[in-house]
Amino acid sequence: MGIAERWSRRGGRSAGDEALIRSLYEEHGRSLLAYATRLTGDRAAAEDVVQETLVRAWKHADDMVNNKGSVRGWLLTVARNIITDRARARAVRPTEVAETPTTPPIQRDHAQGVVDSMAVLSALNTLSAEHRDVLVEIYYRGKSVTEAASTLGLPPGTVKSRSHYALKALRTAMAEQPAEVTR
Amino acid sequence: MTAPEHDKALVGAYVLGVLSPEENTAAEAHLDSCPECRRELDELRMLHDELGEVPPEAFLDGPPDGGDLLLQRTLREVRGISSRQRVWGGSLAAAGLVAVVALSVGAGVFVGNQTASGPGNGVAAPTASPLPPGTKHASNVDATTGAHLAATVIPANNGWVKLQVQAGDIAPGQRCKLFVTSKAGKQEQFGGWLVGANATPGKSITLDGTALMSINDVASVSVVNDQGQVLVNTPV
Ligand SMILES: [Zn+2]
Repeated sequence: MGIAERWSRRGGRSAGDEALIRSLYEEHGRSLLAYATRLTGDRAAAEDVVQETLVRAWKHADDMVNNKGSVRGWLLTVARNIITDRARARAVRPTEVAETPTTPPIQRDHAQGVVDSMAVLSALNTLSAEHRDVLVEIYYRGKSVTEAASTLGLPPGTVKSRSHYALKALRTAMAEQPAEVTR
Repeated sequence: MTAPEHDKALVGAYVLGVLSPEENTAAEAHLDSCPECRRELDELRMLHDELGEVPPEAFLDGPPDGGDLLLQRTLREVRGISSRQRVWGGSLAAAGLVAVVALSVGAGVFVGNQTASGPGNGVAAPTASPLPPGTKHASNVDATTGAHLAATVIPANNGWVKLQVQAGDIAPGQRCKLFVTSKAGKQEQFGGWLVGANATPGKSITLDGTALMSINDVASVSVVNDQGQVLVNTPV
């Protein structure tokens, strides 16, 4: 408790800041790093992206928490935007113009507009666990019906029919999603 | 072989590409002859394309492999920024957020308008792992506001507690903050959310957070709106 408490006294809100970043890291770090590594093809670059993503999450915690989608979706979208911006900056900027690390070159932090692009993820989060699990196994983990059946402890026939009803439930969830964030 | 039977429940499985080759052939033969199933197919195919917008990595949980160097680096950066900027602009300072986030299952927390979805599907399943010894549960319904609150307080390392909270029946449109209060009267915010304008009574939301407080010091957990009104409080 000592260190964090000292932080708390010295920096005002710092203990809370650390807690926020720690909990984001512990919950979403693997997902973020794997995603950034695939997009950048470079573990070191991916780590930089994750770091920047977490810093932005900390700066925009209110947006992140109050957006209608999932925190995971918010973070992944921010990571993707950072990667896109960096790629663009590399393509456009003359190489001799170095970015000064203390002044961020792009103030637009993508805090807005992040919400909708992960609408599917948000909708998936509203499905029942049964429905979501079957889609995750089959679609996102690329499992066969037999593999999914054994992972989920279901007869293969149930996996097939459930995957259908899961898609239908997802369609309903997508349709019900509010178009705008309530302030 | 005659035309296979009409079974719309196979259309989704067909779109997802999980049918066996024989079933696939049969489904295609049937689709040729059944406008109703074809319509279903078109709709679900569009949805299938949208699924592709979500990266598969979205379904990984936990911290990255290989230690917490990256975490330490990030914390250092944040400390650096904190010490440079003593005056805080923006929403974070106003919110005074301590911690938020993180559903144990699936792909993160669904907050905000979550109250608009049903109780059975709005919130992901609770964590499957057993809770550590010393975990405390508490719940209460406020007689005046009608808001209900259930809190699970879990001991964590180094004088922290994890809090899992379910709250509901809160009047729509309110900005809610979650506080944990120590026996000495010290309050820590550990999360917050906005109750959707169309929130329906009986629906609840689930949020996790952490607070710098030893579990033995925890006296109560409460939901407070942005006017400072305590909507519901539960002694722990
Ligand atoms: Zn048919």
